[in-house]
Amino acid sequence: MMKIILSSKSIIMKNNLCIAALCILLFAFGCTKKSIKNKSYLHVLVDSLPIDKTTNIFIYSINPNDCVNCLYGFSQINTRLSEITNSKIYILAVDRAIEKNELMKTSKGINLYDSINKVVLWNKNTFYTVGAAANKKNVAGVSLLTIYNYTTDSIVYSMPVKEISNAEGLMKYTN
Amino acid sequence: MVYKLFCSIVFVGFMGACAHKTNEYIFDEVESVKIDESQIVLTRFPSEMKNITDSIVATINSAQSVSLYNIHSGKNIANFDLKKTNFDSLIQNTFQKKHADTKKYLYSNGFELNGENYQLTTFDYSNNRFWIHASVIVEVHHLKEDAKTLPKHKNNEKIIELQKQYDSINIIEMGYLNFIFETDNDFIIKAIHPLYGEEILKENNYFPYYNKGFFVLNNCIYTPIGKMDESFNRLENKMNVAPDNYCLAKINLLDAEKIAYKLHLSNISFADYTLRDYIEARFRFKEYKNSFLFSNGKEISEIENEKKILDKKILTTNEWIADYCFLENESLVLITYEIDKKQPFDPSKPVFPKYKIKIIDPVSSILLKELVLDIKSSTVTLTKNKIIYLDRDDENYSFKQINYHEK
Repeated sequence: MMKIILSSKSIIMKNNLCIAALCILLFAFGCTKKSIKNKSYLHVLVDSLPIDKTTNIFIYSINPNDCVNCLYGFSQINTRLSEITNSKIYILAVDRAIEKNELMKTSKGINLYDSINKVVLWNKNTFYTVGAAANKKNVAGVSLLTIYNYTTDSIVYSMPVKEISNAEGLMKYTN
Repeated sequence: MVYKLFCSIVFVGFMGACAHKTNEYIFDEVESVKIDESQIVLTRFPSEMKNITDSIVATINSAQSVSLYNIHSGKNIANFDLKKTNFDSLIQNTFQKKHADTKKYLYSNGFELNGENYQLTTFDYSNNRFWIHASVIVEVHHLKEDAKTLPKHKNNEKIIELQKQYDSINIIEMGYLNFIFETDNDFIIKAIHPLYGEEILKENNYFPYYNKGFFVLNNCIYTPIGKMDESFNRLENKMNVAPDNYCLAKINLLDAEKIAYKLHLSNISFADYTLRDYIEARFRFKEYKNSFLFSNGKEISEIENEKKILDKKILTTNEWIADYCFLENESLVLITYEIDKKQPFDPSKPVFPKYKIKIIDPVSSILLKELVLDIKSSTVTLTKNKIIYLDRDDENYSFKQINYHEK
């Protein structure tokens, strides 16, 4: 009788150990799965660029064909924003080489050359994809200013440039 | 016998003269030529294209220039822009002088990426003159509160708040000042006409829509107008189509006080138009047999006597007129297009309208010929013997033309 009771206890203990081991495995797997969650499009894009990623990144998605008054307001704040040292990405909705060369030649207000912590991308698809990622309500083709944090992989600010009245409100996102 | 034969011959000749227009038309193969971009780089399809001669078209490129091209060689012949115009001086000598007591206008250079703070929106060519509409952005400082300015801002919360804090407030707003630049065939400016008529129109609750097109006759500009009511507040709103309203204004370029209203809405239908439809429809003015015609995208009417030339019933619900002209045999030719508005907009996959050419007997409204066109463009124009449109691939824009004629 005692033998049977002892056997039963050992079976129960073995079962408990198996259950515990299974729980530990499930917990570990769950944690692992979280750690390999897909990064956002912006993260992948910024990852590929040679810029400082430790502070907020200012992303200017510019459509040169945007309405004149849409870009007019941006011209008012452009001078102020050019003084900040945060990394900048300019994305121009331009594909053709001839258009790119023309803009680089004629643009006076913005320096469209790469420099330290500044990259200029010329690609319509990137322009539209960043626009869609940054602002779900964004009407396609509208020029945007997006402020992105690489560490947290999150957008901290995004606004069509025509709705930005002045640059002072953006200073809190700088270094 | 001879008499009977004579009568028979006369009868047959008479019937021949009265015969219906034919429906036998020949459409040639598409001809294509690359556009010369050595002087003007196209950043998008031109917003406007009109034929000047059988070989030359004029286009508006990126709202910054009017360019002439030879459609057989693609060569860019001449260009007109306002980059060297001193807008400060122009505004000071025109609108600022006129409104010195009530407003202060400030013009500043625009965002250099897309040009100056002006847009060239549309043009007319007549009597060896180009008439080019320019819309200039300015800051308008209202020097004193006036009954016309404040009411439209009365529901603005920020202004209400300011009014509580201060005895009086001055309003600064962005506005557009409109000019017509008159040039010769070489684009040499002959005159600049400030369009003051807007103030007079506002008193009658109308506002002008110059960028929808216009034509100039005897120093008067005929332009579309809209009623200033809630129908022009939201894109989805239906238009105010009260039959007594007018759809055009005739403004004297030399004396803006002289305004006449033309073409009642009872004689050209805007029924079921939303504001979006109004904005997107292609308005076209044409001269035909010493009278002037206007198309609102659905119908065509004579402007002076308001006689309807084409009723919209010949079109389907989603079908719109892109351009039209009359042939020597008095048949009416239409280029029409259909857009599926339910399709979601995806800029990575541009969807162009489906185009057709329709040849119609305008007297009987009988459709003589209809042909679907394989055109992937938003810029199309029509002449008596050809369809001209633009096309592009990854690297180049090109002119394409389809010649057609009666068999």
